[in-house]
Amino acid sequence: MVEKYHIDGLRIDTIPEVPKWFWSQFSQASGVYTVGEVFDGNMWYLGGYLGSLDAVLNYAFFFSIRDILFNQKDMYNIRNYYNEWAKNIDSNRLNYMANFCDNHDNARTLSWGGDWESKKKHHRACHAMAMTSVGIPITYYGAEQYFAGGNDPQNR
Amino acid sequence: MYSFLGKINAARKKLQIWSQPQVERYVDNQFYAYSRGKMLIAITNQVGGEVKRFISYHPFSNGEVICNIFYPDSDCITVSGGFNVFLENGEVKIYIPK
Repeated sequence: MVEKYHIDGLRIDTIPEVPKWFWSQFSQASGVYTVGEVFDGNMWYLGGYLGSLDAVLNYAFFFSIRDILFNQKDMYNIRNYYNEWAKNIDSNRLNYMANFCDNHDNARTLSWGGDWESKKKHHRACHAMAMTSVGIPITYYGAEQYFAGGNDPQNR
Repeated sequence: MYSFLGKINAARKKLQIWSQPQVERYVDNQFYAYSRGKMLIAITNQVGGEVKRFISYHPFSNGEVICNIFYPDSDCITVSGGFNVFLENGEVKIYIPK
């Protein structure tokens, strides 16, 4: 399939449901970039899947950066975020992690309470970081038009 | 928002930032700035008023003209030592060489 359709990379769902040895073989056999969904913000846990796959969805970015911006936490926490990654994985691996601010599995962040105009500003700041920080950005459909659906299925 | 993302994407490709290391340039409680090669990104967690910071540690050369990708014709700075970054009402600025 990869060869037939000239696919550049594979995004794989629910990685922890299948043993890591399988993903190692699968990733190697695919011959392309592989990024998997591990729905967890713990960097040590996420880091445990690197090697079996090229990268995982960066739920640590999602939870941390979104919280800092939308909840107006101390911006020194961004420094702390990168320092924590450095303790958990080889820094080169961060280049392949998939950064995102919103997705279809979580209530869109713009559905949170608060002033709409303020939330839009945080939304832009978060996406600016996702697109320029070390890693590979993922922009989910809807983010480009301030989609604000809540829990499933409104987030789809 | 679509246009906002498009401008960042175009700048990403133009400067090929994925091959450049990320360097923290300024941080305090309300402001964070970092660079990827010759791209400097400045963000704030504040949504009202002006957040102004003087950036003395940056990737640009003296005399170099840098512009904010969101207002490339009107928001430009000639670098001389350091420079001020003004973020109005929670905006993001991304400076790249003109």
